[in-house]
Amino acid sequence: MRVTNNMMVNNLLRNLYKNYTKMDKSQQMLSSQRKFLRPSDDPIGVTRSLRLTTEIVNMQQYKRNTQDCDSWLQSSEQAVNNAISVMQRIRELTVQGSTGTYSEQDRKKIADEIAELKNELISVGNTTYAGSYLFSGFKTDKALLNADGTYDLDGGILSGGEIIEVNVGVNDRIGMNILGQRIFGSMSTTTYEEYVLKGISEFKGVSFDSSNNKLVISYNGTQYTITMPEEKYTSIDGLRFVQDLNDAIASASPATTPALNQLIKASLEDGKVVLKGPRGFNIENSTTMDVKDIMGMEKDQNAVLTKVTVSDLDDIDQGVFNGSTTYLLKASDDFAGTTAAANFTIYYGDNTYTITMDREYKSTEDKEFIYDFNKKLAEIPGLAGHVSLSVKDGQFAITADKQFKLEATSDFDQLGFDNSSVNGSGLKGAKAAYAAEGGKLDLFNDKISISAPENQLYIKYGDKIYSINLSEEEYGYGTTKTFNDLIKDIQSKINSIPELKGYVNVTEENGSIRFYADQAFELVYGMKGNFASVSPTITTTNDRFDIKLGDGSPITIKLPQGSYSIDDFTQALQSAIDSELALRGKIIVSNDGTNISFYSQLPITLSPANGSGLITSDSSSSSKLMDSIGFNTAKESVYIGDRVESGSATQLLGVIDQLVKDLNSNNSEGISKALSRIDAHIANLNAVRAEIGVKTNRLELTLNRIEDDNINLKGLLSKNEDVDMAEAIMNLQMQQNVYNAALSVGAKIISLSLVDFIN
Amino acid sequence: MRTTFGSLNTANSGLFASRKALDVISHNIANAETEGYSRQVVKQRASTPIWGDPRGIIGTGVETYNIVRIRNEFLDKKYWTQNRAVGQWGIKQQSLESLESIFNEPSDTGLRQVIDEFFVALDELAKKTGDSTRRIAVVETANTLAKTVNRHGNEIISAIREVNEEVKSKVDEINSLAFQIAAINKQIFNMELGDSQANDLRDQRNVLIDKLSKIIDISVSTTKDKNNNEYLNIKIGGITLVDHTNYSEMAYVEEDVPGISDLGAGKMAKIVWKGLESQEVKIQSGELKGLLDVRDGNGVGLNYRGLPYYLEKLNEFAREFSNKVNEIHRKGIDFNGKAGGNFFDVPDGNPDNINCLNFAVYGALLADANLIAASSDMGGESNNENLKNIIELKNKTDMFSSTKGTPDDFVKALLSSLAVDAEHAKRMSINSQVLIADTENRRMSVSGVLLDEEMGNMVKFSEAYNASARMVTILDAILDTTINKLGLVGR
Repeated sequence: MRVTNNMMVNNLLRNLYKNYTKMDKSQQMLSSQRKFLRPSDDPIGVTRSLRLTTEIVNMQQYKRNTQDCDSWLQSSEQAVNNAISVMQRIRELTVQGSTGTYSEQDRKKIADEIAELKNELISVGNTTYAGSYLFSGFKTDKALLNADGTYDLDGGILSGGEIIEVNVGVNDRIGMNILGQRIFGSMSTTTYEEYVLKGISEFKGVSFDSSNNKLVISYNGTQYTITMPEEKYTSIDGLRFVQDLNDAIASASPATTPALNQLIKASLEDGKVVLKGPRGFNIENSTTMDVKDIMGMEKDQNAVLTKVTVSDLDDIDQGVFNGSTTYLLKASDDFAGTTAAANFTIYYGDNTYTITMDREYKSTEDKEFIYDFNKKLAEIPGLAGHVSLSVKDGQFAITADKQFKLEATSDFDQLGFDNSSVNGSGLKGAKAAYAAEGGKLDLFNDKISISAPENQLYIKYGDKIYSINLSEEEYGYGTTKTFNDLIKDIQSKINSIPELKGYVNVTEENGSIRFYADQAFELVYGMKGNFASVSPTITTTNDRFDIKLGDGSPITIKLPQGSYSIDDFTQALQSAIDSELALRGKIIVSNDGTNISFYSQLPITLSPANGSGLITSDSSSSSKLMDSIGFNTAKESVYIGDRVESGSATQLLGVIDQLVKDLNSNNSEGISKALSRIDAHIANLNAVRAEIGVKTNRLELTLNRIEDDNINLKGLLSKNEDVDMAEAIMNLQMQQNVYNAALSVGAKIISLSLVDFIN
Repeated sequence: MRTTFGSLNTANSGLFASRKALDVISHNIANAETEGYSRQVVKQRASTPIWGDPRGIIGTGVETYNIVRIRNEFLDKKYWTQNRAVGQWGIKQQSLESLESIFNEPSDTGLRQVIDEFFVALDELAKKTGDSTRRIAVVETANTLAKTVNRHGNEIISAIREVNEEVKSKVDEINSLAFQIAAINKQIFNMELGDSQANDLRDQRNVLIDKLSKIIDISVSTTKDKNNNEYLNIKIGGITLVDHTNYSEMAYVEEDVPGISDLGAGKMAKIVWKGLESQEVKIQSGELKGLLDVRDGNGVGLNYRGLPYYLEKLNEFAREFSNKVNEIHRKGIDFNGKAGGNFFDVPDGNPDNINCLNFAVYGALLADANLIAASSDMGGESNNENLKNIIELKNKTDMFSSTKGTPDDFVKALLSSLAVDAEHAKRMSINSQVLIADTENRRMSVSGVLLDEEMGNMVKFSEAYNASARMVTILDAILDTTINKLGLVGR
């Protein structure tokens, strides 16, 4: 081939340029210490590099999390250690106090010291770390305990699910905190409300005549005149005065059935006269008796609402430390009043208990009934503190800390409990461990109207979905129906489904609707598909329809041709829907024998597809109904079991309080019981400490693993990205040499020409 | 019978021929470095001999009948065919390299880093949800993430705008070249009417066509009519650009492209034939194709993965990330006890409206970090239940509908496509350059001036001239003898 000067020069330049580029690249690699500068230099290397860098960032975060978790746990462990040493000191003191040789004064001193130690236990419960309360679950800004030893939590509740979890690996979480209930336990209690009018001074004695013996009390809207006998009482006749007062109340005018002394009772406490009743009452101004002088009360003084709490410390002997789980059974009807001597049989624990009432009650006397019933419960050991009757949403509800059963043949139906049996004989209380709460509803100013076709609620409970048909009503402002009525109606419709009755309860709490159930459940969107036929024969003219989920675009679902029964049709629909990536796993199709329904966590809309007669018209799921009752989205239930409420008592401190009382009153039986209870609590605290120890160990292992991973990843990253200095320098050297050689040779050759040689 | 002065003519013709040859050699030497110059060679042949003499036909000397340029037209065609690939891949390599700089990965300032930092901030908040410093950190990292995506988007839009400008200027260049080629065609035609070759003009024309062939894919053809007149025709996409002395022009029509123009790139130029505005120019290769692919390629189906593809990927990231985070965020409770609103802004309430330019943290949340809905219904200062769900998104493999994988995987896939495309463009560019270098070499091999060769020829012809001059001298002597010395007996 003919080679011209230009060709030689061009070729030389081209190769020099290539060399120069290579040198530049080596230079850049050396100065930046990296093998590649742009993604296109090594696409796979870059991908690997990105992944490794992200992994390293993750590892560092996991390490930080592990360390933070470790510090938290260590503080918790220290606190628990403190508690254990306090408890051991209390044990020592208790042993001393239980020896009979101590005098009353000595025992008092021991009691005082123990009371002081109680305060120390309270401050252990309120330990903080870096500004957060360790044992208050999510409410790290709220103290766990009050100064008197009841749960504080600023009025809130502490549920068993309030564990702060941190990520220490992919799908690897550790709970950082220990819940206060684990350490202090909670006591089951029966509480009932009582109105109390108590004198502030001791009974002084009085001489009655017709001008000053009338006591006028207004109760439940009526004024009753109570006439005392015209007798003389001295200051030591307090007991006789109270007895005569009760008799006088029995014959108050106007007369009532039952007699007024069944409702308002007088007694003597610490020398002071006390009047108690289930409803509010007050002393009228028209009283002629000198209530101030005699009893230390004022005219126009109102009885004060007090909560009476009865608890049972014997739980500890059975090793029950967890927070109280509530088993709940709601009545489905309003209280209808009871017949005379109504009797109620409850199965609780391994025993059967029967309570017989003393009189009959009218349907308006619900407060009185609850008061008397709970008082009777409180007097039965074994039931006291474990079972309680209360009102929820205008209907009765029985709560207990264990599973209980109401005998269906006893008179519970008079209280509104549905007599038709649920799961065997008797009405069972269901554990209220899962709850779903809607948004706040203002039924004072707003109205809810429920009308077909948007009147169905769908609940996924267990493996099935139930549709609840609410009746078409209006509730709230401008109607005659209240929030309570709404709750009642929803509950009664839920109760009409046997699998849900007794297990799913609806209540109102803090202005929103709350659903409770004993297992996890979900409120979902659902609807009935308005197919032309539920067992169709599919041909080319009716084989498709459109389905729209949430805000997505409509997707056409096509079915294979053929004849279908309703079950086959349901299955075919489900498979056709599951074959669409956008819908898979998000819609459930089911049938109830006559209708086919769709359920999802998002609102669904069905519409006819062009030219297909499978669906007759558009239909959408009942998001309107869900919205109006405060659920603006499908809701999964939240585990709330094992919860304690603000103001409820702790078991540990309850034991100590009882011990102090027993020491002060020299109740040797109580003191020896206290000893075994303290031992049980110390054992529990040791168990908690051990658990913390296990977690700390796990964290250490995790930390080691993370460190190892970190080193490996960094090594991989370096291998991937970093330049091998020796190699790079050698390359650069070689390229420089080549460049030099090319230049010098080229210069020599190019300058040669025939021109130089011709004369 | 010969003429008296015939031989002088023969010798003269030798002189003229050598002189001409030397002129051509000097022309070659002078033009050794001229771009596109093909060496010229003088064509000589023996002139027509005189008839008649049965005792042997004597020739009448030499005549130079043509000066031709040594050029392999086939190599030219090959060059023009290969040049379009050089143009196309060169442009693509450049554009993708600058796109790599826009994304700037792997580095500490790229998209991957800001995404990682966002999730780290969320994780730190999860350990102490009530801490206002950590809340602010979350808002800040989210803001940085949004702004990084905004910046990338804006830079891609600027790049698109620049490419559009370049398209327009390339069109102008094509028009100018077409005009020049047509003008030269006219000159060549006029000059060649008399059977000679307009060599230098043809060389200039070839240079113009070389330039044109890099910009756009042309097909060049020449036709000869019955008078042996040559007509050059250049077609683009089947439509004639230059036909002998006529030329058409291309023009551009500015139109809005949805998804690009409305994001600030302005109107895009669509290339049409002037006068036939409805007829879009069919461009298959060349720099213009490279530019158009980069400017318009949305990666759908067989389309090139150009700037719009990466823009759309950023849009998709912004949209899906916002929507998924918002979906979970709205299920939670914020620090004030209210239900969570949006975390990322949703313009006009329509989640489909989110793109990489308006991707932003929700204004109210930016101003007040307490609106971060970390808690679930159970409440409590350290309730991080909802936050946990947002953090889980880091590992959620079905977060994006088009790519299976987590947010990190999405960025990786994006960069991986870019890396592969850029590497491909680089390789293709290098390969096409190697190919064309080879063709160029062969062209030069055929048409280039080799100084040594010219020197040799120069020696050759100058000796021939000397010889012919000698001949003239001898003939002069003979004639002198014939005229002055013949028949002088006795005088």
